[in-house]
Amino acid sequence: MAEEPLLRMEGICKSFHGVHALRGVRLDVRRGEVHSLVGENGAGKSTLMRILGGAVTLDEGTITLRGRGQVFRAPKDAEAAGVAMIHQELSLVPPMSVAENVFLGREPRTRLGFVDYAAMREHSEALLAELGTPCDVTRPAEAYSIATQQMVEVAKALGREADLIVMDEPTSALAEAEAERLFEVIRRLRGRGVSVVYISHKMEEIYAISDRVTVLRDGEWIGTAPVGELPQERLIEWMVGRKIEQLFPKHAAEPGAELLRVDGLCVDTADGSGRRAVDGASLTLRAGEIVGLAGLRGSGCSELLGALFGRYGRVAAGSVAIRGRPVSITRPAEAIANGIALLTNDRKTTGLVLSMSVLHNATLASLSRAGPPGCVLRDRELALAQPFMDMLSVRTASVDAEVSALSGGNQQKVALAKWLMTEPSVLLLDEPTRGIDVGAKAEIYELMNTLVAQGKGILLITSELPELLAMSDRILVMHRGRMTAELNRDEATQERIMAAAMEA
Amino acid sequence: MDELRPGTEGPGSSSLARRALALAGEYRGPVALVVVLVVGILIGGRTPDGRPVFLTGSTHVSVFFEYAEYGILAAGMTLVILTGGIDLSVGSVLGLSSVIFAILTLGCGWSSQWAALAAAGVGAVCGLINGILISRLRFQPFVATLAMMVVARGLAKQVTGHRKIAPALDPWYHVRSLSEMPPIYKGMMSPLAKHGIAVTVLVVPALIIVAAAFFRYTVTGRALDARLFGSSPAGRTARATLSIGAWAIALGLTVWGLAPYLQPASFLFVSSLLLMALVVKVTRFGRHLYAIGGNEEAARLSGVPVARSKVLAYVLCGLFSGLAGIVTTCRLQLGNPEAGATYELDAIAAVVIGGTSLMGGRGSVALTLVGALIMGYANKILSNIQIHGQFLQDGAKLLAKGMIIVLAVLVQEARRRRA
Ligand SMILES: Nc1ncnc2c1ncn2[C@@H]1O[C@H](COP(=O)(O)OP(=O)(O)OP(=O)(O)O)[C@@H](O)[C@H]1O
Ligand SMILES: [Mg+2]
Repeated sequence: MAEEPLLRMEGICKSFHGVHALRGVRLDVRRGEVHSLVGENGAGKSTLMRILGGAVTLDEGTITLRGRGQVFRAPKDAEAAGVAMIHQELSLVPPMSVAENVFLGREPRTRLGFVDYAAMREHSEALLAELGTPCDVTRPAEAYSIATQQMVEVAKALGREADLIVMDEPTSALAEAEAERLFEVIRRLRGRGVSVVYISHKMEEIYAISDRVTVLRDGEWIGTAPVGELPQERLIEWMVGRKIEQLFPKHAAEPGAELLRVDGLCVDTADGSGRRAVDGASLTLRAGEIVGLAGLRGSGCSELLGALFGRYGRVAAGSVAIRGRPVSITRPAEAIANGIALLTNDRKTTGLVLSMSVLHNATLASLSRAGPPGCVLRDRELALAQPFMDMLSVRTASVDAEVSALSGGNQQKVALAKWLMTEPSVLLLDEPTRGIDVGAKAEIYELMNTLVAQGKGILLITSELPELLAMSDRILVMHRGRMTAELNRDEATQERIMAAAMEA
Repeated sequence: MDELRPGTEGPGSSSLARRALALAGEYRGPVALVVVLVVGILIGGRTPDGRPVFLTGSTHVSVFFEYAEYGILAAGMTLVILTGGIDLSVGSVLGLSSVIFAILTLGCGWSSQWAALAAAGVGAVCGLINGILISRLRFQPFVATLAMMVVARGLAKQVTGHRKIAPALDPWYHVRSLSEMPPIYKGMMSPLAKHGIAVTVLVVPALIIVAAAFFRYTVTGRALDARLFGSSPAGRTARATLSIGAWAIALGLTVWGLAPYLQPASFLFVSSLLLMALVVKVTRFGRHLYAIGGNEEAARLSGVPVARSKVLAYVLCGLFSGLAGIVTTCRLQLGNPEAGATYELDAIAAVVIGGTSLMGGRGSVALTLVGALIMGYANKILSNIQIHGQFLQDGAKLLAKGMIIVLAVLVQEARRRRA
């Protein structure tokens, strides 16, 4: 028999309110191995890892770490045993400084017993520099973009000097270059003998980084194999239980009338510095068109979508016309009334009301159609929501379950359902497939095709360049708030996009 | 979609007990209320002929009556707390509207309808100011309503010149003696009707409730429901008409049956809470409150009129404070500028004991009714208990009340943590 693995989980079962999330799952992780854990949304990946991290207690099964049986009752037990976690949803304390977040719960002390802020600053700066994200660690975490916050989250785990690090979709908010830096760190960790459990829905990443893969489906263990022996088609088949013909189905639609025209749009940054987050952006979107927006962090793509949706109030300059009619949208409610929908890139903080049920989230933007004026009737709500729940195959125990109990990907589907329900003509999609599994991704892209075929227009931001290239009819590239290139479908390549995104 | 996936049902034998437990867990508030009632029957004192006082109708009547103002305040407070806010000014606003009602009726000789309208209006204006400070000028709810708490109390003292408003207080007062006081002063505090039909009509509402539960929660009932009405639009309309009709009859008979026993003050208490429970459950405004309390930014981005909904919540809270002020004036038979001090704490306690989260976004007004009744009955027990033939003193009562609050919140929290 080979050497005893660092971690062995066996026969893990867990159910929530009678719904089985895990049924006899096993996982073993060797020392110095990067082990990917993959599966559809709701397959139970995060639950398995939360059991390992002590955040959820298991119903049945055993955990053996370094040959010793373990019972984790609380996160601190797991931490003490050398397991560090990067949870799927950001878990920083927003108003606390980056340094304080990195050292949360294990602050270094001076000899007098006070918190040693100097040491904290120094160490967290070093950690973040190692991750290639130098930043002012004394500023509050909330001052930074999600991508940076994600890196802070990674630094927090690294700082624990654990020998097993779990990363639950760490790259879902990262651009390619940032993800690449994270991979370098992971490789270095592996060189030091640290093991990593890596969860991602991005196939390229799985193949780029992992040694072995374990696949879960519907809470069951499907298989474990060295990544080299598992071609992508097989892996996907294991995950979704059937073959997927085309990952990025793209039907060319005939562009129709102009839906949206933006001229010289300017948006100030929120920090009051007078800098422009978007600086003179112009674009047109026609019915039946998918226009991709590409740019690095801070390029202003997301802010452009937000401004079109009235998120920041009155824009600093510029004009917007819908179907040739000039409009001035200063509130999201006006945008919705004008047939615009914005799927934000962070479902937890801006996309969903986590304390409300699946049904209530789904209908939140369409309540005016859910009953007589001013009222909401449950029957009408169900009738409104059901087709979208079915179309997106949202996996939930009941539509009355709190949306926070859904797996990340299913939460994303609920957010998407909310916007499709408003019957928009212009969809602004900021990372629509963030955290969504391959099967559902293909479905969502298929859905985008259907939508544009019905004469809607889509502005799409995605950090996955292959998706952007495959789905967009045109691609606009932004750099520091300015449009730097417009590429047609046949002239767009990863290199040209990156070149335009890096320099004005 | 509405049901669990297959494989979710437990094994048959022990599942009944488990389901009963789960149901009890779900409805902790009502269960706690039942526990309080049982405790009341056991130790809540006895009548001279030896029966537990908690088995006499008059005890229950008096609980509703004595707790009326707190319950009315709690109705508005729940709306505000659902948005993640708080209103500390309700007690002071109650005091202000109380003296305004007294001055207008006793001093200026206004008819009680107009005076009531004005007093409630004053409450609503205070709420409006709170709402504007909070939603437009971005004050913290705690700070804005703390300021209003001080200002309203100051105003109440200023307009009365630090005196209690009673007949013939000043030479110009219209009402010169107790016997000339407008009828509302007596009416608010005496049973709605002199004679009524027997309480036994309450059997009908009870049957209607049982029938509703049967159709909603049992498998047979659901099947029967589906067979009778189906899902065609006509069937749905028929079902809706029938159920609204049944509830209206239930409500009407309840009021009718209780009229000879309950005072208007108690009716105001229960109907404020029931009305707001309905508003929160079936209106868009109600849904917006939950969304705002759960995640204000996500709500705004979904087109929820955040500022307008918040302002309305505070206005309603102020309006209920005004109503409670009128009740207090009638109860005291005078306008006291000190009335309502610390009432905000009882109102908040009722909301929290019901299980509504102070963080906002979770809870309901129906739960607040339960919370208010738990508080009301607990108060009753505490004032009825005798130890060595002695009633409890105020200090001991307060201690016990504090512990009840802590206990109730612990029970609610346990549910959340388990989930
Ligand atoms: N706290 C909870 N209460 C109820 N159900 C839960 C809870 N946590 C998870 N579940 C359910 O367990 C199942 C597995 O969820 P989990 O989050 O582990 O999925 P996942 O594989 O991480 O999916 P994703 O890729 O979308 O993140 C889902 O069906 C989910 O609804
Ligand atoms: Mg997950």
